[in-house]
Amino acid sequence: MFRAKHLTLNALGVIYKVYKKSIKFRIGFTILSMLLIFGFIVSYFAPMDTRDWYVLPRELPPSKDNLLGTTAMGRDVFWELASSVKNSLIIALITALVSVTVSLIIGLMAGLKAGIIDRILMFITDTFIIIPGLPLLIVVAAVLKAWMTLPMLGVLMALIAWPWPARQIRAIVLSLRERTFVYTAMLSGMGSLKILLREIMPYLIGWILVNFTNTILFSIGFESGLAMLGLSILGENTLGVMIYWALNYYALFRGILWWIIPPVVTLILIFISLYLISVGLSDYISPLRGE
Amino acid sequence: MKVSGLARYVLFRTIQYLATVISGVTSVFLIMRAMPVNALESMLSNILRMGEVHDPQNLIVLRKTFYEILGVSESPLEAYLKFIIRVFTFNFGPSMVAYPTPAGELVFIRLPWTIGLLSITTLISWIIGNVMGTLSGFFRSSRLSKFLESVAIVLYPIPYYILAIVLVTLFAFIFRIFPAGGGSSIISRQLTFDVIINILWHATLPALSLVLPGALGWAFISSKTLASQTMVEDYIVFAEMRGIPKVQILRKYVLRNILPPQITNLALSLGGIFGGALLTEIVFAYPGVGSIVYTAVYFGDINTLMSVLFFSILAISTAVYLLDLLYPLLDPRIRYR
Amino acid sequence: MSDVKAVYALKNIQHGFKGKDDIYVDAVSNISLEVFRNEVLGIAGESGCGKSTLLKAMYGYVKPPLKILNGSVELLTENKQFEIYSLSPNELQKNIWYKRISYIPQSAMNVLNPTMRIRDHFIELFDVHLNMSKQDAYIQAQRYSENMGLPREALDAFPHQLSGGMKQRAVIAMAVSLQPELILADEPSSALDVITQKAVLTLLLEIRKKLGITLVIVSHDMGIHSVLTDRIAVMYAGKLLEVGRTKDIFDKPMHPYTQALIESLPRIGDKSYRIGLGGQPPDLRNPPPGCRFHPRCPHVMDICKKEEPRLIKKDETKVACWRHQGVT
Repeated sequence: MFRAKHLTLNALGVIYKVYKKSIKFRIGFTILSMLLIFGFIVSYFAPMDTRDWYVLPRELPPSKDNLLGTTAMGRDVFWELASSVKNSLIIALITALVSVTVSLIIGLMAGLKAGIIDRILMFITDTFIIIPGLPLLIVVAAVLKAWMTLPMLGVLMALIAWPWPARQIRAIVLSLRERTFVYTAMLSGMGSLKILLREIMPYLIGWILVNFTNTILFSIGFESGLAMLGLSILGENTLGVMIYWALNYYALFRGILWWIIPPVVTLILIFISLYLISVGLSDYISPLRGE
Repeated sequence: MKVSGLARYVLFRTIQYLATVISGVTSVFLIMRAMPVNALESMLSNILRMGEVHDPQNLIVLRKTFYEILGVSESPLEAYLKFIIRVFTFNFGPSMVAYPTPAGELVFIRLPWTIGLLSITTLISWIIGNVMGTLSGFFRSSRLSKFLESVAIVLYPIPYYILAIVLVTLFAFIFRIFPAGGGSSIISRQLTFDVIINILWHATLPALSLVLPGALGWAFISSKTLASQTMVEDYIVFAEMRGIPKVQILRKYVLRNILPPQITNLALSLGGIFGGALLTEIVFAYPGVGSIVYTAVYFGDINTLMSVLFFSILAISTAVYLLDLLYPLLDPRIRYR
Repeated sequence: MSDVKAVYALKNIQHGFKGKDDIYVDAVSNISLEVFRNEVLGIAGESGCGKSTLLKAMYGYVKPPLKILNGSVELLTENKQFEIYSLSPNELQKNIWYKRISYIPQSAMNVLNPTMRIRDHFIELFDVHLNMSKQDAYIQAQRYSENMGLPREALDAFPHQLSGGMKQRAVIAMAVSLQPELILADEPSSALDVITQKAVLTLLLEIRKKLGITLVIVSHDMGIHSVLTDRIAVMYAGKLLEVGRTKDIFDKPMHPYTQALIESLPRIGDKSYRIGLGGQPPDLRNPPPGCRFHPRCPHVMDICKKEEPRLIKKDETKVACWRHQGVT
């Protein structure tokens, strides 16, 4: 019904065009691709289950056998890092998918239907914008601590990620609505869904890509924040959890720098690359929207 | 009787403020009710295992309080009522991390530190970021502008607390300039000059780790974007064609027209800024609300966590409300309808 | 007409747009024109023919992607002569703009600062250009606006409180307030409803009568030209096709394009069927060779497709058409 294939092709087309034009995008894209390869492909070759503790001698500095050394819990830093990248990104992906979908639905409904539906939806949205995300998730995550799984974490973060994009989408829809072609469509009796697909989607695609990227960025950052408090899934590997354990064992003070620095640097690299991608995309789509 | 546009605006915003707080509280209530009961039970047993509470009488009271705070006692309507009453009387039961001190009180005494740190750093970030961003948007092609933009690209996505870790490592351990944590090293009830200086000294690093990503991050970027967009507006072009000097255009045309949407941007970002500040406080062991969060999480002290949540909802809603009230002062379109 | 002194002389102006794709759009092609003191000159032509660009060029407001390739624009006042293109933006801003030449933009909808009252716009002008104090400026502003039909309340208001017509009147009042030698108006009434249009046009006529200002009006509406102007210059696809007295242009249009323009005007009592010109204006990235109008011209000849006709004087009118140059 939503012609997903059509949308995906459209999205890929935009990505291709931006890649050619924007150097920021290229840099970000390259870094991210390398990280993706590291996280998803390289991690498959791990010679052990990275979740097991005390597999190796503890706190060994980097060597031929252990590229980045080992942690205080007897784990190989390199392989742990690889699977951490994978998990962090998977969580973030789930957050982005859920959040973008929800914000799209709500934003579009509010923008197209107006009137009382709009008011109600915006009231709910504004409420969630004002509720500070971190304290809320802290409470929820604290309660659900034992039950937490990777996907659940992703969905939880989507809970606080959706309101702001929903508002933005509504604003875009409202401004497009004022333009004649949508009015014409509405007056000529096309059902709202059809109007949506035909007239508005092309403008939204670029924006959706930007929002998707930003949400991933947000999610990775937020998860590492939660992890620092010990509220992530401490049994799994994510970048945040890695940093948590490192800090917990005072890696910084005890000079086990090979444990704390790689995840922090990787985290920063992910942030920068995602942001570059996001900026590259939005630089591209703004003039198209006549800004 | 004709009600002026301004009075209407204030009235409307006040109602909105109250409605938002209530709906926020209600949303939390609904979320808590959606939790599996098992989770709550296991939390409770975790707390009890910590061994703070022994007396069986107290246990029963505790369990009842607990359920009320989480809004899961009895029927939904009753639970909601009790929930609302608790929230608005700031009664969150005893805290676990400092039993039997009430959870609300624990948060309350830490509030001034957090609000002080947050409001000052947000204000400074906003001012610096806006000035730089507007200038940068105005003089788009200058090299300084492009440099600042690159700096912003690096700083903006990095969460505050990571910067905090970097700063603490650099300036408190490697170069021992600033204290590594705490709010003040002088324990005194009076705010003498020495005490104030000491407090400010301790607050410098945490403030820096909030101001740097703020001023060079979100404040800079949003104001630069706004300024660039405003630059191509018709009234700017026409002002230029009338021979108005550039500096004056910057001041009277660009800056004045950016301020209202920038206030809105600030209001919307407050939630995120608050969260970031909490984590930063933990890194620096700053005696604000953040410091209690870490321990509370460790002990599973849901009472304290709930009180933190509601204090923060209230704080942010109030801040947004105050900002909203500023709006008519800056945008004549609101004052005169 | 005695005492014909040119106030503004454009010589061989060549202007265009160079976009990111590096293709040059030839918007104003080799135009030479004179504006005489106290006259109202109309520049006519359909949308996209380059008249607005020409006007901005005359004003000296050249911003990328607009590029000046060639030409000179001279302002000749009683004792001084200014070559607009050779002046720096700073000099333009200080000495010329709004002091000697004014500009009335196309649509007044968004040209006023939303956070400034109307009177502050005036005060600002007087302060910047005449160094007047606030009180004096306010009095001046009141005088001018009363003349322009702007009531006191309008002066104290913010732009969003005024109607489109009021805003346009305020803009016109601002353009006149410093008593410049020349006013350039870009479609001064096109964005307005018919009734307000009439009010604005009447205002312009009054200004012209009372203050004796030289005025250049750009409009695609021939009706406006017939009412306001002394002379008309007809533009098409960046080129000047015909320049002459308004009366002559309307009575005896010479260029086929001008004829089509005049023909298209509705006349009371005339119920004959009107045939519009077929075709579209050419793409200025790749203009047709020879006379740019030849693809649409009902009287096109071979030479029209190859060589561009020059603007030659025939009777009192200048026209650029091979048919009027003794070629058959």
